[in-house]
Amino acid sequence: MATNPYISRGARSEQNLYEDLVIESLKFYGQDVYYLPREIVSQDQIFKEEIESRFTDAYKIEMYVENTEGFDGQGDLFTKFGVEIRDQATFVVARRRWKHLIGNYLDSKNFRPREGDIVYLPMSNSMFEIMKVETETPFYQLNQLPTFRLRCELFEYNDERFYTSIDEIDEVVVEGSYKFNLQMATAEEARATATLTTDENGRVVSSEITYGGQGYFFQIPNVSVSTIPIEVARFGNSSLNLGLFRRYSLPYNKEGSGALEFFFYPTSLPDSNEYHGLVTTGGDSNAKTFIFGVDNQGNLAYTTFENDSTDDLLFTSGEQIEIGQWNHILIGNDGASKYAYINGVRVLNDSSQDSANFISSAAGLGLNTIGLLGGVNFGLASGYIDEFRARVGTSADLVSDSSGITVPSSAFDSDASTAVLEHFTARSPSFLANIDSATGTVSSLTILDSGDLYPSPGIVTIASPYEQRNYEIGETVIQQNEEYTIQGRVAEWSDSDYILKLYNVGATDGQYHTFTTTTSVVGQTTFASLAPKSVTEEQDIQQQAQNTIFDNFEADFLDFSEANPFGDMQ
Amino acid sequence: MFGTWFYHKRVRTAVSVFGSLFNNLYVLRENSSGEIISQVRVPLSYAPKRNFIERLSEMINGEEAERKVAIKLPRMSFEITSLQYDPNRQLPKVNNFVKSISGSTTSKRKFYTAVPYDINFQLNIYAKGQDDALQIVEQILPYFNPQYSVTIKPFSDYTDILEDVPIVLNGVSFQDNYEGPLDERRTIIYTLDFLMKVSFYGPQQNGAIIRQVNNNIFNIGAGLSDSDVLLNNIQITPTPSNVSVDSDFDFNISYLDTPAP
Repeated sequence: MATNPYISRGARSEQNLYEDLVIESLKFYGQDVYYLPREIVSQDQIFKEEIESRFTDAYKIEMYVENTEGFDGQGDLFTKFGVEIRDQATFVVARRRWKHLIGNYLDSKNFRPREGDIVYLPMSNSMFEIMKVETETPFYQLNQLPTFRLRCELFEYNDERFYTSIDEIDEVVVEGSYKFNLQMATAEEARATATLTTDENGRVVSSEITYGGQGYFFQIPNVSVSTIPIEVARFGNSSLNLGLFRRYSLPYNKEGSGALEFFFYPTSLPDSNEYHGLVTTGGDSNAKTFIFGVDNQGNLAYTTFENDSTDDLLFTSGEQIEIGQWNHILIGNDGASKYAYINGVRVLNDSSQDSANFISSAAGLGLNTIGLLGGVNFGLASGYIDEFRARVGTSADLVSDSSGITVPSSAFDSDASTAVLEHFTARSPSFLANIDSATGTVSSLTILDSGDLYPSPGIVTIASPYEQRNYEIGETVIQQNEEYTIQGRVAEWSDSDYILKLYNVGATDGQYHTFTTTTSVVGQTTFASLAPKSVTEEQDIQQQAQNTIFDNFEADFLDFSEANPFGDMQ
Repeated sequence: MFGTWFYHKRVRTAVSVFGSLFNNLYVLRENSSGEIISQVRVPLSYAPKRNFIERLSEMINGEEAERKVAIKLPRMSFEITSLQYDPNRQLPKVNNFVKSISGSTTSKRKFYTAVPYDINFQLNIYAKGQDDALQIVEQILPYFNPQYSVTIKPFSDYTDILEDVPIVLNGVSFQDNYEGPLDERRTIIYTLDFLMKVSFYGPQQNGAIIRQVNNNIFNIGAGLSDSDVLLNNIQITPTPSNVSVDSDFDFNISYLDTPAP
């Protein structure tokens, strides 16, 4: 017998009322949850399993949690694999609401909730995987099915990707993923370093790369040099540092009477039985080569190369050269005698010895050799020379007042008798860095300008290849190697201790690789670029994992004269 | 009756040896274009443990993470399932070998024959997918035909004593409960049964080193009342005299007319 046509069980108005009441009830007694549809990125066609799943969307919707006195299931189990939580929950969601809020936004299979999708319950911070969707419960009341019933189990995490932009959901990746910890080199640590070699004139003759740095792939770095110190210059500019095997030779060659005049700033005086060489004179047919130096008291001493013992050393007296300050010195020869002034006081007037030529090209300041010279142990003068002047003429021309001279209080000017005037204005060298883009290192420096009177050893600074940018949580980073590119996603970044933690790490060639310490890891969003100093693997996936513990123990009891075949995959 | 304390940590070492074999296995997952999208060093742990310590360690990520997921996979664990005496490997019980005692020229350390035992281990592999589990299994099976030997140092004080320990793979079984109600969880667990042949050593004993041998030679019955007459004494001592068990040395041989003292 057919049903009674006069008694309708499916009047539209009643159905709508019923459904509205159900929705209202769920809004009253339900919970706000997030529905996460699963995207299967790749699938194993043999075993019919998902290889990669990701969850990129989260839809907020109200659902009623059917469990009243706790979740179903076996609860917390202690198994041979550790603690496993086997909670089960049943959620009820209104059909119309699900389709309106979620189903309409899904591309396919969107007429009901799907097994494998996830319901995140904020109340307990739990992720439940939908195991079964009951579509006919309750069963056709008023000829209608107003709800879905979702039977769920707590989710087993297996390296799935969560990019929902809801922090408490996405954190499961950070908490559960297998991570690589990269201790990054700072920009300073990645910087290449070099040293310079200068000649006796303070000109750079060569450079040596002491550390090629890392990460010099793209841009040629700037090279700067330390500024020339002027603290000890007499009237500005700079000065000639004599303590560096540096000798200033006179660019002037003439026979006859003349004098050298300069300021000397000793930074130390020699030990006893040693002398600091200050001036050498030229020899000619009538003159011997003299060496003027300073003894441990600051006295001016001199000898000739022809002498063979300290007995032949001649001293001046009466006025000493003072350490740590500028002293004006004038030494000359007027054809009849040699004379010398220290700070305007005449300390030498010697006609008993052979004459000396102060204006030949062999004359000059400083020594380029040390040891026994003229029977006397000479070392390098430790200090600076500034405001140098070589003059020609007799003593009457050079020294107007035979009792003394006036110590200049400003920089020298040239005059009629000036043969050479040198203020020792130094010039910085400049360089061009050459990079080896295959290894990311600085291979050499090309000298563009060798500079002049540059203090040696000059300090050269090669700019770091890295801009000190910070990586961003969640961004993809890549490290390009010769045969493959390895990439990962940033889980954590610390700009204080430079530790970068990456998850979802993998290489493009389908093989296992870890990050190398030779090339930089570049953020694809921030373009932060630093190179790792060391790489470790962090087993956050299971806190009680003992892999590292066994690693550390095995050297104690295993004899690895035979290698462990289960060792490295690299 | 036994009463001498000793502990060579043989079972403990066996656990560590077994763990060190499998602590470096990886699972790699690739996308459709063949690129690796994640690589996981499979966590390994010794299964029996204090459950509260395990529970505490799970708290490290904070309250919100404690009940977020059921478990993180894949993972492996192993445990000892039994120990049994192996009579086939038993050597004569009075056999021994000696080692020198550092700094001593009068004593030596004596090790008696070990007692052979087989320790059965079970390695369990828990994965969410078949491919994950098979990657792990396949990284293990080729090395056992059916045994693989490791050389271990049984005594931490005597690292030059080495012992080859065969580990035999007795069988592989697996559980995959893919059938059943839809709302039941699928569990894939591979179980590998191993047998490790270990030896248990008793307490070590100290013994004196023989440093002098005296050989008295008599003329039998040549003396009064058929007594024996001493003809000579041959005394043998090591040279140099301060040698230990492991030293290289020579012998001094002295011929004496009087008996050895």
